[in-house]
Amino acid sequence: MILKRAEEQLLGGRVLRAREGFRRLFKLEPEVYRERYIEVTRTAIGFAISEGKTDQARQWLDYLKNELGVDPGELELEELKLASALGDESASDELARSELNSGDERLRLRGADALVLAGAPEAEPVCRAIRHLCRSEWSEMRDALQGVGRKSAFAHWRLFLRGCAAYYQNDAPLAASCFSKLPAGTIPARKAAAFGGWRGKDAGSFPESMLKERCHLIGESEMADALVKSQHFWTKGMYAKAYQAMKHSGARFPDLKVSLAGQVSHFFQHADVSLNRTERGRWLEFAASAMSKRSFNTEADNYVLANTLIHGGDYECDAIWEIYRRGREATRGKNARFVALCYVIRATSDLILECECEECVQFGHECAIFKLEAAIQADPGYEPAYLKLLDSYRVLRKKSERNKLLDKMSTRFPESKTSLLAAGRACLDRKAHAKGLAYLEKAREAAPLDGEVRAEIRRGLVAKAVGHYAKGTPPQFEKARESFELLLKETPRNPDFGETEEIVYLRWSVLEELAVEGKESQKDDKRLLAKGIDSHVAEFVLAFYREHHAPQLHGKRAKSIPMVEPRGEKTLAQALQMLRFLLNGMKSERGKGIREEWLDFLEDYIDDALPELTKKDRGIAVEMYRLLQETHHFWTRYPADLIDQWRELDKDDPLFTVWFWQDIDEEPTQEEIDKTRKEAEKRGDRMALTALDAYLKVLRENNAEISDEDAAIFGKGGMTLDQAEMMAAVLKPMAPAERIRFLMGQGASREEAEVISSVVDTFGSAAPPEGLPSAKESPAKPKPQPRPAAKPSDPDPNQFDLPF
Amino acid sequence: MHPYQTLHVTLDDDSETIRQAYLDAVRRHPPESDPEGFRLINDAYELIKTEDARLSREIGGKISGSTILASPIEAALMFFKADLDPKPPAEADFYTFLRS
Repeated sequence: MILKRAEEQLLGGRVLRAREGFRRLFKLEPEVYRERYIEVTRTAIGFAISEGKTDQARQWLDYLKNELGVDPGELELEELKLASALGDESASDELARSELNSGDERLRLRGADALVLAGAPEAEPVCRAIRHLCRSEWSEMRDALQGVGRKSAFAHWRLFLRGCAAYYQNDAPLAASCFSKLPAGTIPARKAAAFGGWRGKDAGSFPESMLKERCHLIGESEMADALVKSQHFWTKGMYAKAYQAMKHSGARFPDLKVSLAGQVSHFFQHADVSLNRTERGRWLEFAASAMSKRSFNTEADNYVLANTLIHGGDYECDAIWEIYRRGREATRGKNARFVALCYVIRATSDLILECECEECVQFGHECAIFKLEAAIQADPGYEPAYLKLLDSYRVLRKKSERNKLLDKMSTRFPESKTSLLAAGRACLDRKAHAKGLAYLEKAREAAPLDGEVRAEIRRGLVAKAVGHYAKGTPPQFEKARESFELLLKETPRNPDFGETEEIVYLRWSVLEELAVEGKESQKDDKRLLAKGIDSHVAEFVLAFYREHHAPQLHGKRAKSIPMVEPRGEKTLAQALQMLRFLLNGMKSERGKGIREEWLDFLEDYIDDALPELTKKDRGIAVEMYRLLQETHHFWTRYPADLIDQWRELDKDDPLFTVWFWQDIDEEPTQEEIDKTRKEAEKRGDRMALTALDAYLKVLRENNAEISDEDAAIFGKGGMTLDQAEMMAAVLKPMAPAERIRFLMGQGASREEAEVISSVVDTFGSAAPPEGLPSAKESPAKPKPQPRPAAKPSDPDPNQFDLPF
Repeated sequence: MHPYQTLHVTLDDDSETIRQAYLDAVRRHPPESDPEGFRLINDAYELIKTEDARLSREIGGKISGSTILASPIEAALMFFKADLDPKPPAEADFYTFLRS
């Protein structure tokens, strides 16, 4: 019975109990059970050594020798194991050698591993190969490994080192192949995890062992456990503990170097971006409180925590900036550019205003000026500070300061395109055209391919010509014409419609017409040169420039110039050209001189052109719709007309059907959607398929249930669409600060008021923000945004015959 | 992304050294054979090519494009992924790694 139980315990790995059983048997029948008892005691010694119970092992060894009379030579292996466990290196080597020579494959591999780590002579080829590996001497490494036989106990090291070499030579497949053949349970098999492929893995899909071994490989072992703990706390929302886990890990944290600890420090500095509003608040609260604690008072801590607060939006607190600066200087040394940049960031924050009234804007710029001047003082070579200061002077109309600063900039940054461009613009604004153009020419020398500089030069040449024409004398007219000659040479290689030579001639002819009278005028000559332009478009352009230039030349004549009423056939192609011209004019003239009347005129023109729509016009209609979408704030009615018109002609056109759905209140049925998709596939209309997918996506989003955040903002009970629209209508005309005050007066907290204020701008009568109505009391039907992200891309030239 | 790790430069290296490191990295990872690596290298260089960019990143924490790191281990993974050309450690460090 005792024997049976002892054998079972031995088989089950309960060695100590098994030994106790055999001890009792030995006491009962010493001659029968002596050998078995000795054998089990030796097993128990090995077990005790592996458990670190070296005293127990010593006692049993002495017992075997002294009490049972076992020959000490028979116990040599146990003695070696014990000496090895007690730190005797020569004993370890001896043990490893004995294991290497044993018949057990597992022991042989273990012995080989131990000998490699000990740098023993038997492992010399492997150690030599390691030396070459660490020096990136690949062929020498291969030569060294030639000395390791395929059937040798070190063969797995040969595989491992080849895998390592492949990894360091960016041959991931070969490395993976080598590592996959390593025998389990060996050191190489365990360490191969460090060389795993990281590409394509994310935080949730990699084994922890890989992370740990990698940390060991890069010499940051302490980071391994700390990262796991920190990750656990972070994902549970325990941010303070997550930071503390890193801080108290024994790793060098926070670290400001290129290291794993440095990367994690960088993460904590800017972690607020990954958190929602509530969580961010808790994280920043911890950062603020930690700064005052003794355990977080190193300069590196100060640097990280202060940056956390700054990044989280605490721009205004001077003390935090000061702590940040001190922390940075203590850890990275002094840097004038860093100080200047900090001042510029603070100045920029002064210009982020809740209220955008003129008084507040001016106050913001006045505050910013002090910081920008301090930035320039800290680092006189920091150009962005000058540019921002220049802008503040412009807003505050500090002309003399601005001019002085411009002179200073042109001296300090004589070859900077940005400074020269700013100087050029400033001169043009104050009508110093020649000086401005000189600056712009220098800017072009600094950046010959820069389109912005070229556009500014063209604007400068026109402004200069207008200035000469305004003086009203023949010599000045000649100078104006010289400017136009230069302007023609500046025509871009791929001009927008408003920048073509023909349009320049039309513009020139208008100035001749307005400024030069009688036979001297070259009006007709110039107009003849613009002969390529359709007469309707030409009249439109002329009328536009008459209105645009007349006030500059003869202020009072502006109103007396009548709007042109073109005669003859109106086509959509002409309307498209006019539209392009107008859009270009809005861009190049910086929005000046565009009046609603022009838009009304064009809208009427398009309406008149619609009856002429033919199937050939489809490409034009698509292009027109795209441009109209870009400027939809001017047009609210017209796109629907265009869509209706086209659908009368081709009621199954899938693209226009999708656009039709976008512009009506009713959702299409599934049957209609399927039919339209089939039609698009039949016609090979990729644009329609894209538009349909985008429309359905918006529809799904709009139908989504109310989010928790919105519920928190608008109350659990929610509000109907009508109520929400009414509230938006009340809030929309107000300035942001006024909205917040109003909402706080209605009982909302400041935080809620800020959020509501920010969503009001997106809440138009045609497009309520998704999820706004209560889930309980939903409105009739959620309406997709009339112009969603489903903007059609440029028409496929293979699909349409575009006229341009 | 850890741009310094990708280009194998230190925080104190100047713009010219960084540029040289960038060119070397592009030579090792040309777009034809390693488009993903080339993109990473370009992104890294954009983030640190000038002193102003380096300082802006330091204060503003820009990583790359719209990437947002959501947890410490994600940051660690990005650090590992950023190392396109890992170099073997010194011999002593390699033995320390094997013994750990």
